[in-house]
Amino acid sequence: MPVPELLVLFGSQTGTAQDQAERLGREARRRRLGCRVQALDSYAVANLIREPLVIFVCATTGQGDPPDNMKNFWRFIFRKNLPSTSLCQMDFAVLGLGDSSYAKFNFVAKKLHRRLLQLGGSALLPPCLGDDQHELGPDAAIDPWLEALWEKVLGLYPVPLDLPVIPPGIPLPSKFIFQFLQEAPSTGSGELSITSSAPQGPASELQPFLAPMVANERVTGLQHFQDVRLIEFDITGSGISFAAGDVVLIQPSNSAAHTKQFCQVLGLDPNQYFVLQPREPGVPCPPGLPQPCSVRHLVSQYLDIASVPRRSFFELLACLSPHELEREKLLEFSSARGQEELYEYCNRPRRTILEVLCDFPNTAGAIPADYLLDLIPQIRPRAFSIASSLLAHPTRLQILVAVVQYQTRLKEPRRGLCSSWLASLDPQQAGPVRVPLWVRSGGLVFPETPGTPVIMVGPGTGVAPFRAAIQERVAQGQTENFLFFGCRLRDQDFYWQPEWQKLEERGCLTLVTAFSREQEQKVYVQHRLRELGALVWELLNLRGAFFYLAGNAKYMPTDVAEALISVFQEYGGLSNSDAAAYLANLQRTLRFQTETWA
Amino acid sequence: GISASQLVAVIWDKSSPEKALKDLVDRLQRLTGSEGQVLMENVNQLLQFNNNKVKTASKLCSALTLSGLVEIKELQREALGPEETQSVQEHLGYHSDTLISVQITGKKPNFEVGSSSQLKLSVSKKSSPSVKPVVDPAAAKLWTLSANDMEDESTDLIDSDELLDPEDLKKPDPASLRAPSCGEGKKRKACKNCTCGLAEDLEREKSKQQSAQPKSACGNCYLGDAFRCANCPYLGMPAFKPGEQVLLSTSNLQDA
Repeated sequence: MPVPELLVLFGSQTGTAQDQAERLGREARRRRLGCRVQALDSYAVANLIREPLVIFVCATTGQGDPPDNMKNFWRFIFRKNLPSTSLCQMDFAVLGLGDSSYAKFNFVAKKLHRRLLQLGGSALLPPCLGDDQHELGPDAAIDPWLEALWEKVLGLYPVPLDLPVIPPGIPLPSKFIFQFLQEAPSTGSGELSITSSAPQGPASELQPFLAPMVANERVTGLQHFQDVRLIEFDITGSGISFAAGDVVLIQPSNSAAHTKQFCQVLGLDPNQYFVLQPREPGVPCPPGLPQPCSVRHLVSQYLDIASVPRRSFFELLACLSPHELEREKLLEFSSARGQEELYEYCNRPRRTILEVLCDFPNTAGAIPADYLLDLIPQIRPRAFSIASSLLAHPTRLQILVAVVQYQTRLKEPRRGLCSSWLASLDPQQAGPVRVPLWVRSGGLVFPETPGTPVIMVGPGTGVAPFRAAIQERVAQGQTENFLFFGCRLRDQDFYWQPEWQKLEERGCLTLVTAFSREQEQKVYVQHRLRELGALVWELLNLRGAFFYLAGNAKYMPTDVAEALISVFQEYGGLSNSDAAAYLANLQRTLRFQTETWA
Repeated sequence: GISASQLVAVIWDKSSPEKALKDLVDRLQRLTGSEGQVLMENVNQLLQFNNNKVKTASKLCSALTLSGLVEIKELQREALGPEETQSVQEHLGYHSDTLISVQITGKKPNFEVGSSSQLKLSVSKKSSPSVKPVVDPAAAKLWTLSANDMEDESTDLIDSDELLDPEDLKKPDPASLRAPSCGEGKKRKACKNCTCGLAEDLEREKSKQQSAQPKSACGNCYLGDAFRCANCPYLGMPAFKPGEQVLLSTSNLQDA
């Protein structure tokens, strides 16, 4: 009797949905079901009509949008020409991850569930709506849903009696085997080369361009609470091209100190080299790792030891622990009833993988190298809006980086991996400092028709993409640029102030500022929008202006949208619902665009 | 290339000499055997009455299916040569550049009296996964064709927003977002072998406890936050070796 097979397809932006998908894979294997776990855009969707059992794990990101690695699938699945009986062979379930503080809560999961029904699929369960707003995170919804799912699935595919469920506490086989080499390879590969078989081409995630850093300048006043840097890269010879609104992705590394500490705690020799072998045939080796690879390279460039571990980390660690006291605690942290405690220990204070391993030294010292890639996720690249235009600075790429640092109840302050790493690099030192990066299209597109005015609202570091846009437009002779910029104090965080001044003098820019802390009451960009409502209305309604919003806040977009609605009502004489419809129409025609980050 | 059990359609008109036609049909019948069939179709009739038996190759296939044959397969099609096309035009007044002759094969199904075959019903979705309708080949083809052209931007998409209803916009009740046991704020826990008195205090539901000494009575402080009790002065610091000197700043000595 063939082993019943389950297909888990995921769409993940930050890795959470992927982690849940892999959890499903492990739970399936424990129940002796065959299981394949793949990103939606990596799956050959032509085969979907033949799949009998599929679980979709999908996050909702941005403004109700699907994650990047399911965007192609999303465009396909809504095609009108797909027959309504296509998926009649399929039993499916949808597990969604989202945040109920957003209006479009779990829209991707909800829409997908209904569309699959339209295409003839049979739902095993209603969709699971995992919610970041729950005190215990998405697991609060996912745990009971998974129990119900397995009941349904095992009802359809009962497991043969001679193959019992693999209980929790027993580890599943590792995905890879580490074959350590006796000697370092003579070619000394590792640091700079990625996969040798990958073809040269435009810079990408698989083959980033190693850009020399030429400037790293603090642009906030020394009294200011935050260290913000203007960083410049030389991209000569990279073949990289970009336009205003595009985004650069940077692959950070762990610090030397953390790398050393990790190796010490696990008893690894950083100078040793190894070759990876997948345990099951047909499983590819991770594309981001050279072969052979050094332990130092693995720990500093690949393993995300500075990330906050997920529940699955504790689950696997418990299985690997030889120490009674530590094992007991780890099992508690992986159980459903231990989630509250785990949240207090780990999530709330933002405790890192490395810190947890230091708290469980006996277990850490006993981790077999084979399990490192199952245990610790890969470092994810970070995206930054490009802050310069090739028309103003050919061969250069600039970004504005706020160094993330804050305190939780842990004594050691929390630091952003990428921003701290970039801040620590000194271009003045001997020898070039190189940063792996590549470019992709951003969410902002600027109008090509000459004579179109552009209104940009970019408080704080949100002004970065607009600096690129303004440089580009001015170089093209487009002078109707309206920038609403907000910050705390004009002498502390007023980025590019001299540049704006010159442009204003040349008549290429109208700048409206909001300094939140210069007076008793807070003044923000949305207040300025209302004050200049007549102008905003005229630009939008009579001049066909495009409106942009960028920045770092969850609520700022809502506040700005509300300000616009009231401007439409007051100066356009529109009713509340007509004003909302007007805004919706601007969005549909790409005349209202946002790029916000959490 | 005619062989046994094939179905052959002979399209004729009045210009075909009767004897030659009969000879042809006899030969075809011998070749196709008892399993096959030879159909005679007068082209005038076909054109005049728009006969639904044979019009296009696909209509012929459906006609054969309806008449009970299985495994219908189109083997070959050939455009009529210029002479043949000319002949059709001259004799029938029917002009078309796209006339073809089609060769189709079919089989009589092997039904013995008393044989049975399972009906595929799509009704039950309950216990067994095998009771699923077969994917309609036409639907499968459409899906596959579409899937093999993922880059195609020109196909129309349905508006996914139309799949939603007002219920979907409702925010969850904030009470449903709390952890089950939470009510009065963070839970304070005593460690496993508590000897510092915290366990007793929690039982008596005292709200706060002063922690004056940096030295612990329960002896678990060195283990790390996962094992420390809620009023441990070392909370927030990494694990250390027992007896190791660890400096606490004065802020650590105050209550959390």
